[in-house]
Amino acid sequence: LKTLHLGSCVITTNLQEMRNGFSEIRDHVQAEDEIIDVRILRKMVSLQDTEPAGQCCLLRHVLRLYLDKVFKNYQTPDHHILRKLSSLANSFLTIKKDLRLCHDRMTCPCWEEAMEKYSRILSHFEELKPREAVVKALGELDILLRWMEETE
Amino acid sequence: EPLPPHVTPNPLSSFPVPCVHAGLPKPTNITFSSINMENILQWSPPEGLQGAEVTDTVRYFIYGQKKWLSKSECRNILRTYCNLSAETSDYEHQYYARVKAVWGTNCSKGAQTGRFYPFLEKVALTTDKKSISIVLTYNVSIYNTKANKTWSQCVTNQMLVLSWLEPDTLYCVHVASFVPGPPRLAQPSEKQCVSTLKDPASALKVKILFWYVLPASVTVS
Repeated sequence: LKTLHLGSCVITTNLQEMRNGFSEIRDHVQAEDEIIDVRILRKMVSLQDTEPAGQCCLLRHVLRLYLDKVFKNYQTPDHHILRKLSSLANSFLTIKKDLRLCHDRMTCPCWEEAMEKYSRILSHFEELKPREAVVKALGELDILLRWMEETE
Repeated sequence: EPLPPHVTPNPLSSFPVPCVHAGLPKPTNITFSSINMENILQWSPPEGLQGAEVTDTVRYFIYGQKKWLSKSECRNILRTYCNLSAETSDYEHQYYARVKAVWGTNCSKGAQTGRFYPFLEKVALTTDKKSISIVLTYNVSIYNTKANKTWSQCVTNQMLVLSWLEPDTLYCVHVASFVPGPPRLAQPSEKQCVSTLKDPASALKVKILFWYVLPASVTVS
């Protein structure tokens, strides 16, 4: 288990397990993304370059995007990929619940910077057609996992 | 000029050198690999063109940006590799590369890699004519049997000095090699135990010499 320090919100995650899971499907999912001149999780909106106090809020919103709009809408006949994605989604759900606890304890404030960054991520996502956006967001899970890792 | 958004780069537009797209077979097995901390693009020559004077031209692309970029040292080359370390040195970015075969004024479509993420690829190996030395990081786990506590440390040399140990206490240690990058399960060494001296005033440093622990069992899988 890894400990993520998101300002005063501290949670533990199975980052290694998520990385293992994604590495098994990464090539396949990224090969589906043919729009290589667009990136949703861009450097300038990265989690680790966000004010620590706002990192919890940003991560919470990004995880909600993945849970509500990405994992749910990805379709493939490949059961192996579906299993891996289901496991990743469950891990995201667990993290989101922990972040919810931080929110309840007032250690997950949503300030301007975090909301500004999230709205940019959302607009990059919504610029694309639904199927393209889902495939691209999935292909960028290695970026998101790295963002989380960098807040260790 | 930059590509309009959401347009998949047209293979030809990424190679300004004018050549006729004559259905030449593409290079094959194009991959990035990290060798000695360098990012090398490698490929196999196109099939069916043995003996022909075929050269290759490399282009690379930063995921999320707009233009294919070239490396002059890898334009019209006979070798089947290109060192793109400098071009792919930013660990924040992910990259693609393409290679096209050129024969006279004819050329193939570009063979393209998957998305390459240097951040995930850091492996350190050095080699000379006769040997390969592997720069490994060791993950040392130390278990205090009296306090029933374990802690671990990463070290890159072959000796670790543990200070501030409790007197008259049995400590058990095992070591596993650790290579950054994609997860690799390394077989830990056998556990080795040693007890500190009873006299609390004596030196509490115990040198754990790796050549007793390591050769016995560390294997890199």
